[in-house]
Formats: sequence, C-alpha cells, structure tokens
Amino acid sequence: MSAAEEAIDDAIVRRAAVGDRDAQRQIYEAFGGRMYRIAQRIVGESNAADVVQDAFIHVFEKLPSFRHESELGTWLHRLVVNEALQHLRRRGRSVMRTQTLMEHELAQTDESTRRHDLAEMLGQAMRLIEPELRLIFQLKEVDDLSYAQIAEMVGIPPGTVGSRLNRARRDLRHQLLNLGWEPSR
Amino acid sequence: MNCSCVLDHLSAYIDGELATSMRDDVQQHIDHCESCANEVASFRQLGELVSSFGEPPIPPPNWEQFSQRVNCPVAIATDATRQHRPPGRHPIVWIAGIGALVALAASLMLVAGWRTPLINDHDSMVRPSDAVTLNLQPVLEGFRTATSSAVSHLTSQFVSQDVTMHQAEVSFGRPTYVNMAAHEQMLPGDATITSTKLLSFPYCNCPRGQCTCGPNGCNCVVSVCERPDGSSYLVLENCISQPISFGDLKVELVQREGREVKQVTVDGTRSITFDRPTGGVTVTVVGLRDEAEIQTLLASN
Repeated sequence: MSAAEEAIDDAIVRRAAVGDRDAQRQIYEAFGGRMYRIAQRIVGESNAADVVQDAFIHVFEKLPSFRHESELGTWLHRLVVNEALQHLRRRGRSVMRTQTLMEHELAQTDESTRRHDLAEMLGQAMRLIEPELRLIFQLKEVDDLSYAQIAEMVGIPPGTVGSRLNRARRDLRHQLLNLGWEPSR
Repeated sequence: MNCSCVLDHLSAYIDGELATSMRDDVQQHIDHCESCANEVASFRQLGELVSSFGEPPIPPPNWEQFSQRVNCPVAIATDATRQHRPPGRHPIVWIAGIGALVALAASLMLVAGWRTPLINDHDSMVRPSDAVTLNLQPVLEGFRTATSSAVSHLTSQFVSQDVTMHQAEVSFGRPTYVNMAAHEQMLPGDATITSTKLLSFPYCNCPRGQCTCGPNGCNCVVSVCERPDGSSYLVLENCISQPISFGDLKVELVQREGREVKQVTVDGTRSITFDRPTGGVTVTVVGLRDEAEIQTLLASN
C-alpha cells in the first residue's frame, strides 16, 4: 500500500461520502493509479481512463453505503473490475483492443530481436485469453497477491481462484504454442 | 492421488496455497509422474516469462479531468444564470476557470445537437391534454407484443437517440440505476443491458436549470435488458418532475424494501415504478416476470 493510500483514513472517507470534493480528490489521487492498472489489464490502454472515471462516479455515489467490512482499496478494486467487465460486455469482447504486458517494451527492445519477438508473442497471447482470466493471472504472477486477495478483489469465491488460474495458464500456454512459442526444456 | 486430482490443484500447489498435507501428497505424486512434473515446469515457465516483462507506465490520476466531467451541471447552471448577468462577469465562470468553460462548451454542443430537433419537432407537436403526465399504458400494452413495440411507442413520441451508457449517464448527470444494478450483478433475471436510448422530455415541469435528470435538460434513459433466454424488459429512468401514469390500468401501491412502489400487472407481466433512494429520479421497469425479479431489482443500489 502506498503512502498516499495509507493516508486515506475513515474521516476522509466520511467526508468524501457527503460530497467533500477535497476528500474525494484525495481518494481519487491515492487510488487512481492502481485502479487504472486494473482497468488497463482488462480493457486495454485506450479505454482504461474512461473506465476508471466511470468507476469513480459510482464510487462517490456508493461511498455512503461503504460499510468498512473490507478495505477501501479492495472495495475500489472490485468496483473497477466490475466497471471494466461491464465495459467489455457493452462493447463486445471481439472488438477489445488491449495493451497488456509488453507492447510498450517493443520500442525499447531493439537490442534483442528474440526478446522483441517474444514480447510481441506474449502480448498477442495475453490478448487472446479471457479478460477475467488474464486479470487473475496478472494479479498472481505480476502482483503476487494471495488467492484470498484475488478473490476479494475480483469478487469470486476463494475456492475458484486456483481453478481459474489453471485455466488461465493452460489457455495462455495454448495461445503461445499456437503462435510458435518454444518452451525451454 | 491420481493425475486428474493433481492437475486440479496444480496452480494452488505452485502458488503455495495448499494445506501442508495436500501439498505433500501432490509433491509425492509429482516426484514419480513425469507428465505432471512437466506441467508444473510449464506453469512455472509461464510465470517467469510474464515476470520478465514490465507493464506500461501508469499515467498520474487526473482529478481536473474527472472533476470537469462530473461538474457538467455546474457549467449548465452558469449557462442558465448568464441570462441575468453581463457576459464574462459571472462568478462561477471565474471560479471554475478554463476547465468549466471547456465543460460549458461541450455541454452547449450537446444542447445544440440534441435539443435543436426538440424545438422543431415539439413546437409543432400537439400537446396531450395533460401536458406534464406521461401515460405509460400504451408502452405496457405494446410490451405484450414485443419489447421493440414498447420502445417504439416512446421513440415515436419524443426525440430520442441511441447512446452508449456512458453518454447516457453524462447527459443524465448521474449514474443510472440500471447500470449500477448491472455493476452489482443485481439485474433481475441475470440480464445484461443490450441497448440504451436517451429521450428528451419536453413537458417536464422543472424550473429552468434545475432539472435533476441532466445538465442538458429533462432527459429519460431507456434501457433494454435481455435475459439469457432472449426475453427482455425495459428500464425507464426519468426526472422526478416528469410525472408518469399507467392510464386506465389498475395500479397497486405497496411498500417493498422500505420504499413505496407502484405495481401494475398485465397478462401476468409485472411493471413497477418507484423513486430512486438518492432522490431526483423515478425508475420504471416494464416486463418483470415474478416477485423474485422485483425483489432483486429493489435490493440493488
């Protein structure tokens, strides 16, 4: 948790819930980056900002009903995950355009053609797996969250995280192999 | 422990999420099963591959941009009040600065784009005898034929536009009930929103600039929600200053989930209308199947 996130206490949340714009701003700026990352993983770079803004509109409307039963950060994550998935349902998943892990590295990896190709391949494979599976996979492999944290954030039963990760890993491997990936022996 | 059972627990095993006894059982199997051992190695290799690349940088949260978006009603208030003040001397404009001016410009564009047809169409339209009450009886009766018939009744009566939910919420000035229910996965019948229209209500009796349903005047958001079996229902959200009625249909007034709900049943299909708890908006849902769907709807938001 960042220092800015830790600085958001109950008093700020209560003020934000009754419409205090300064308090809302503190919450927006403290958690906006993390929410952007989640949205980016699901809907891609080009739509992430819109999704985060939509999510925050709901956040501030629903804040009076926030019961502090979960951490504010976890609650916000769930809202942005729901917003992002809803965004995909509205748009249709077939037109999804995502920049996931590595496209931004393409321009920086001229020194290694192999790494360049691998980055491109991995980016393409990641785009081909289901958005929710991709998010769960990244929450585990990139953020190293526990299954309990992932379950709370995504809003699924803890017992299903392992099976979804099995699917994510197998789907990703399948897509990579189709694209010509050669695992090391 | 056989291969199938081990494969089911493979991710939990490599992620360190198994209880000690289960982990030992899986480990024992893997030590003697080349196929499962290869699967473990393959999963770990995927993790290493993904971890070896970074993610795109995160842009810093832009509060001004967000604030500008949610402040649209302020910009419109400026517009409305400007009639009584010399141009360029309005205090809100000075306070809000360039951001509000941009929002105002965007809002004026919307007003120009969406309200202009209203002037043309509705100035010549014969007003109903009760100018401010919207009678939904033909909508409910049209719904018996097809959802599209019910929608058509509304779109033939008012200026309408197909919009995205985002556009609808910007024009409506707030998140819609139906979208919030969808976010909470509380749409009755596990439905999804398949289309959204924005209707302009010319007969709303809001004082100018004080509509609770949108910075651009009195709007109504009409959403079609489709259940997995292909059936659908309508959700109308409109300004509380736009009264609605169900004509000659029998209306029951009941208390549900702590709120006052009007309920109409036509051929076994239920329609309800209630005021949103946060105020300002009346929600009407046409085409609910049963009590369970009503309860789900009212339990959301």
